[in-house]
Amino acid sequence: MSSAYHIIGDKDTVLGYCFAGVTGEVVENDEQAREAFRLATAKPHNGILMITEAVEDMLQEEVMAYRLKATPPFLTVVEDIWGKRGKRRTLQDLIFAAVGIRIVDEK
Amino acid sequence: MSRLNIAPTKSNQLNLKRDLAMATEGFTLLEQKREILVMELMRLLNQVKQIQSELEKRRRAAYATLRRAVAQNGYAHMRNIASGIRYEHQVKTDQKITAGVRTPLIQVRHGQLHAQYGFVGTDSLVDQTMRDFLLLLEIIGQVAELENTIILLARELKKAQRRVNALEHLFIPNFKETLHFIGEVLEGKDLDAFFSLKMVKKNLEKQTQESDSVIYQ
Repeated sequence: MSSAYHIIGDKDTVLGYCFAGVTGEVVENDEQAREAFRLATAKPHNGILMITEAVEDMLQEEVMAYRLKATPPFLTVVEDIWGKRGKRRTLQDLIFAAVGIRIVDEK
Repeated sequence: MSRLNIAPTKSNQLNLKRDLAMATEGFTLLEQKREILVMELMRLLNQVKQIQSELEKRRRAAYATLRRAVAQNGYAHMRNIASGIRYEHQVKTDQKITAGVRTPLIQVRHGQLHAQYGFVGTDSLVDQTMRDFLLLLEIIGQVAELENTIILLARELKKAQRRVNALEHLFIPNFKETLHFIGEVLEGKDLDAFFSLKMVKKNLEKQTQESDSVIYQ
């Protein structure tokens, strides 16, 4: 897969992004997700690979290992069309955890 | 804090002094790297807040429109329409090096909104879906760049932090402790040798005096 944008996720989320001209792969279980992810990342190319939160949960190890390689297509996680899957660590949380401080807004 | 298990010799003392100097220099450099990474992450924090709130706004709008459009037109019909939609998006990627970490730079050029299907059998919700998802896609490139950069920098910061801690609390104190021990042992040995020499000298002088007195008699 070598399009500029590609998405792996459930059929509803993929359908939405297809309206913006994004190519997509619908997956329903771990095996399909793993295979789609393997194909999408097999060949480096300039692009962005989107995966839904559900797919990220299915492939946690592969996703982290791929992120650390820092090669294109670059990965980003998008929310499922039916809302967030539980509480997730935001980028702010990641920064605070790494820096070791938390700035709290005064109310 | 514990001592290294090495023999207290002069050569080991010299080697350890060299290691300590290198560890201290490494500690200073890693501290600087850690500070740069912290500053970079704090700089990105403001950007994250802005982009995430914008992303959230566009995502809510796009997802809500899609849900309404699917409810109105049915999934199969929407899928048929989507299958004919093509846009020439272009993504260019490059790398930027921050404190020794290669982070991505992503430049995107999106295709312009234009009619991709006939008017028959589609409604305004379909048009709105396409418009909203294109708007959402525009910001996803920036999010991908930020997300990957932050993950890589955060990981490097943790690594630098672990190394700084190991040098500060383990290696440097151990080297110092061992050097102190070797110094004490070598000083003890020097004192022993000094006293032995003194004794030998005293005995030699005594023997010389005795032999001199025998000759005079």
